[in-house]
Amino acid sequence: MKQLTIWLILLSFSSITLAGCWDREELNEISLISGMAIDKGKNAKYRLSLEGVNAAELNPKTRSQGTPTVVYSIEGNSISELAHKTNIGLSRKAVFSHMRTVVISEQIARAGMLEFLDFMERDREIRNDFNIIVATECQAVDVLRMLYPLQRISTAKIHVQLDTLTKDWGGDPNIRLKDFVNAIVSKGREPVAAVVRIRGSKEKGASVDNIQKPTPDGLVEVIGFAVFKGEKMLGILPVHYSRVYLWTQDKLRRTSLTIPCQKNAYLNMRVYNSNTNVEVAYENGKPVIKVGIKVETRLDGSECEDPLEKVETTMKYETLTADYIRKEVASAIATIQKKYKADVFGFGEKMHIYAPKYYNKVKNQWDKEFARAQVKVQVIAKLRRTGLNTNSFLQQMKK
Amino acid sequence: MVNPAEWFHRKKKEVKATVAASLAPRTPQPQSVPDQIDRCLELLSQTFGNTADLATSKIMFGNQPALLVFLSSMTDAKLIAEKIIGPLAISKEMPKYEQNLETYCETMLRGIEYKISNKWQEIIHLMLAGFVALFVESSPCALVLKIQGSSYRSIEEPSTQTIVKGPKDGFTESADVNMSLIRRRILNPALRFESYTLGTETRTPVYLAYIEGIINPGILEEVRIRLNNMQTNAIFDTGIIEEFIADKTLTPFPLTYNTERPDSTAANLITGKVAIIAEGSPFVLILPATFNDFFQVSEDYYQPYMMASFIRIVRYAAFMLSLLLPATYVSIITYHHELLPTQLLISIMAQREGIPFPTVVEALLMELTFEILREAGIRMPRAVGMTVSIVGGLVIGQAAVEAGIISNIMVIIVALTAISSFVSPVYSFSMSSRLLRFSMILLGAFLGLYGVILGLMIMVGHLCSLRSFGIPYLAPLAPLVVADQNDVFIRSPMWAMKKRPYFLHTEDLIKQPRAESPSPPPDGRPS
Repeated sequence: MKQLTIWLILLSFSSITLAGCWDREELNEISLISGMAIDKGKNAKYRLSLEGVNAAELNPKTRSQGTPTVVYSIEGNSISELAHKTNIGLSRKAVFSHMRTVVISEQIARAGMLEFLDFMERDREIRNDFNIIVATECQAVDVLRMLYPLQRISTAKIHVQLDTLTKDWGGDPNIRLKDFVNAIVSKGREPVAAVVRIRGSKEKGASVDNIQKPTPDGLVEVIGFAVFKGEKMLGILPVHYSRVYLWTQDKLRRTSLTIPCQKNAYLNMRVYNSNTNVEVAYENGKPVIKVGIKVETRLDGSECEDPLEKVETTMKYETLTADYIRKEVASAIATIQKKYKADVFGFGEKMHIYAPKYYNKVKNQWDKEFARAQVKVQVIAKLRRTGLNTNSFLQQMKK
Repeated sequence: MVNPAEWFHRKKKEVKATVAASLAPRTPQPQSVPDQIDRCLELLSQTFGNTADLATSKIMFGNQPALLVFLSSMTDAKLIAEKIIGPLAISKEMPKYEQNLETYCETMLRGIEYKISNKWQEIIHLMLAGFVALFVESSPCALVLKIQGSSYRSIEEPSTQTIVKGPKDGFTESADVNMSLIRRRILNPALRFESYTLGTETRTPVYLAYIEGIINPGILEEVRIRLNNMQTNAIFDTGIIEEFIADKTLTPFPLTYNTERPDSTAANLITGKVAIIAEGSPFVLILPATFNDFFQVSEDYYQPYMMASFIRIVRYAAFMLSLLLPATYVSIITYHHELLPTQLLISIMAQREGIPFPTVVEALLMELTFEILREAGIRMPRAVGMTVSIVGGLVIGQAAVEAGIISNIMVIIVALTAISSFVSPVYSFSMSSRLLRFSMILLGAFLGLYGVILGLMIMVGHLCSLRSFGIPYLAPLAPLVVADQNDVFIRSPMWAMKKRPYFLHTEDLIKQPRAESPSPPPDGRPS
């Protein structure tokens, strides 16, 4: 018994001395990577750029006039090797666990060179919930260099920006790595991504001076919605397509609509609750997609003269809102059907559930089927209240 | 002069022989009282040596010479003069024998407790307890009179267990006062104090208190056996008894509860526990003790139960904090950066920028400094107490941060840990978390959160293995007794606690059978 105890103590001690500390990393020996940009290399397949955080510069107490981030680029044929080779130029070990954003250049996206996603999914340190965005009209690395006065780290700024945009207006498809990879793999769905570009000067924006100006010289803007087919990007659509995408995914939380009600007069509707139900079927030799949307709205402004205390006005506005949404959604889906023939909405996945026999027959050419599908959009809009006022001062002036 | 090295290397046999020698009575004591007072005086000086507080005076008992002996430290000289010497001086009777002594006592010493004995040992013990002995020439018996009087600290507020609302009295060093403090709270004839004399050198009176009819006889018998089996030479505090009678001493957790509060002692006796009071100690031991007892304060029962429950949960949380906070911090910072929100991590990184030590060293350094500060704060003479707080708070805390040796967040962690460790209402329990904290920090530093969880598992396993006088230490959590949960993490309203804890197996389970929730009169109006 005594011997056994001694052996057990020795064993547990050796487990500490032999196996302990193997992945120990002191905070002041690592460099936190907040974002990554992938461009096409000049001499090799890729050029990987990392944005390392300079923590001292981000703490209001220790802040001086230095740069909050360090961007370093390195060329090579595989991202996984490059990620561990950065100490060619940087001093500390790069740690990827807090990476928020990966920017891909349009060139890479169009060429479909997304093999590195395998590394990102596989690596134990990298999370699978970072944003994937496409940079257009510039190199991806330029996006990392745009400093911003509030977040100071450019990719953190983009992450917050995309998040808020999704929540408040619905301009970002809110795509994370896992969604993207699932969409590539799935036959009934194609991936999408948000597209950003730099507004202003990318040279001036990449300077600490940029955070000292009320209007930054360079600013990263979300300008649209990239449609992929498999791993290749097909094209870029305007930003309101993201909203339609979110609507079809039942992920839209809030948005604002400007609806024409008379000539040169608009109705402002704030959607604060939205519910979508997509039903698909195979009828008369044609796939039929029914998108049912229910929204609850609040009147945010009215330039029209209808008396708001009347029930008829409410009903009229509800109809106007419903029509407007129906047109926007229907035309967006139609554009994607005609122009790209890529089912970014995942209707194929729905078809797999609703009509499995038919889907299994056509799944290898589902995109063609999607293109000829009949899309029906039904919208029910409810106007719940008119804000703090009933009739606006505009109407009272006219009386 | 013994050479220390030689002494150290003495053989076991010799040590045994010494033990046997020390067990033998030192001086043979006579069995009965001799009838000559000169012989008595001789024996007394043999027994007591030439101690300063042994007072002997020869007086006349009627026309017989007599010897009055007492320990001046334990008796009141003024009372002796008033009650014994005074009446004797005017007494004309000539008591000769035992009966005469008794008549004398009955007529002259009204109101004084007395005893007539011919057993030498008994007389010596009574004298030690503050009795006055009177040896009369040619009488085979001696008269012992109770004229106790010695100065004690007056009853004050307990210094270690203070409360806001509730009784403010605390135990003192006198066992008699302590017993009266308990007796005054429980006016029940079933309250028993069993007397023991422990310590071969000190002969300390020790009392075992319990309530007959409630206490589980098994527990009581076990306590009696352990007290009787105690072989020690000196007892100065119940803490010494604690180590002799506890089920296990190889544990950082206290297996007996000690308190300075008579109200909490009384409440525990009524719950069906046993209390041990020792002369000279203001701390009363309460047995058996369970883990949850150390999170309960008597004040919990004096304030509204919702607040009491909340505070009790806070105490459990504070215990976990004081045990785990530095270890968790060290392991997250050195192994699991991904667990922290990015903003927080960046803020910690900025503070750790330029700190020369690894996080573990920093943590151990600060924790050790704090332990030293705390110890110094307790041991220092009161007059220089201020210095400690200035040196500790300012010099070490602020200066270390400003010099860039310690990060700000580490100071926060250590401070929070320190404050949390003070929350435990029983001082001896807070020591367990103080002790275990260091091993937790090391485990966290070597193995990360895995190590911390491992340490916790070992700790919980150890807690499950502990018993206090046969009662599982984690009762009523492990083994789970659902009916007893009304006074563990939350304190139920008084009327809802009808029963005593099941796990104590008390003789009388139901505490207040007719307790009911207060409610307005049925017709809604006061009658």
